[in-house]
Amino acid sequence: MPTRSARDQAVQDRSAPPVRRAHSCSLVRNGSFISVLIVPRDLWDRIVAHCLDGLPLEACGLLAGRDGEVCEVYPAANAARSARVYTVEPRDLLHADRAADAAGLSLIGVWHSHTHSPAYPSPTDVAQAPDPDWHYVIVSLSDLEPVLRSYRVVAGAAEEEAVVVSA
Amino acid sequence: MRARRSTFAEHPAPRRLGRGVGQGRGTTVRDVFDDLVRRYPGLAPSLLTPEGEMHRHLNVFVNDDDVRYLGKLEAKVGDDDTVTLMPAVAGAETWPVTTACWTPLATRRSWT
Repeated sequence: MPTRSARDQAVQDRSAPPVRRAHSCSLVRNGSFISVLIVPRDLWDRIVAHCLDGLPLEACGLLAGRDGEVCEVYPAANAARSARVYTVEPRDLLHADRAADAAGLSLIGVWHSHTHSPAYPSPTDVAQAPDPDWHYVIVSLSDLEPVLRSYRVVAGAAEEEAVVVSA
Repeated sequence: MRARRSTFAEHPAPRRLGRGVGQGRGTTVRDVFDDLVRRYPGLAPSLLTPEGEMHRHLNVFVNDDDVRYLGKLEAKVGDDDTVTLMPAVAGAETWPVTTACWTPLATRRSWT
């Protein structure tokens, strides 16, 4: 499981002054909250692998966990079957929700891939974000190396958050 | 019949309201919606369009079956059935990237 030191290490890597923890999924620096998503390395690998397997179409899946920490991932089918649009297959969404609930977790976010553009949310991604408490992970496959970024979408605005990949 | 609300919320498209489980009344999905709206009036815009149709961004299941294939609002619901409501999860990529609708992490905060 991700530890407190993972967050602190990410902070130190930025050569920043020490921060105080606000709650388990954010840090506070200079009086401002910074949202953090912690992803274990093996789950990060599964997310990226699912995106690569989905090429040339967009891929998607659901994140389960608690307090900003991903504990399980549920790859889903893209019901839109498109290289530009994704829709989480409704039954995959239902099964993921049930599986997370049975494991004592909650669905805390979704990932999808961008096959031809950077890992930045589109206006449609922002407008259709289903839950202001969720983490929205985008994996760009437009370059040789996959790039994974995460965002929070609240009141129609997306803000990038830090992603900590833990051992 | 057991109605289970799962992660959906407000108008204009379903958003997070929270998870709730309760007993509902009715023999069709439409009856279930009417019963929910009577008890929770704020749910109405999340469930139905102004024309009275099921919101297209809403997924509704009777047990494991998507009601889109069972007659939507006219899908039958039995006494031992569970109705689950969930928002659609979807998005689209923009080619090329023309507008910035996000705040990047690196420039949003002062690190000094």
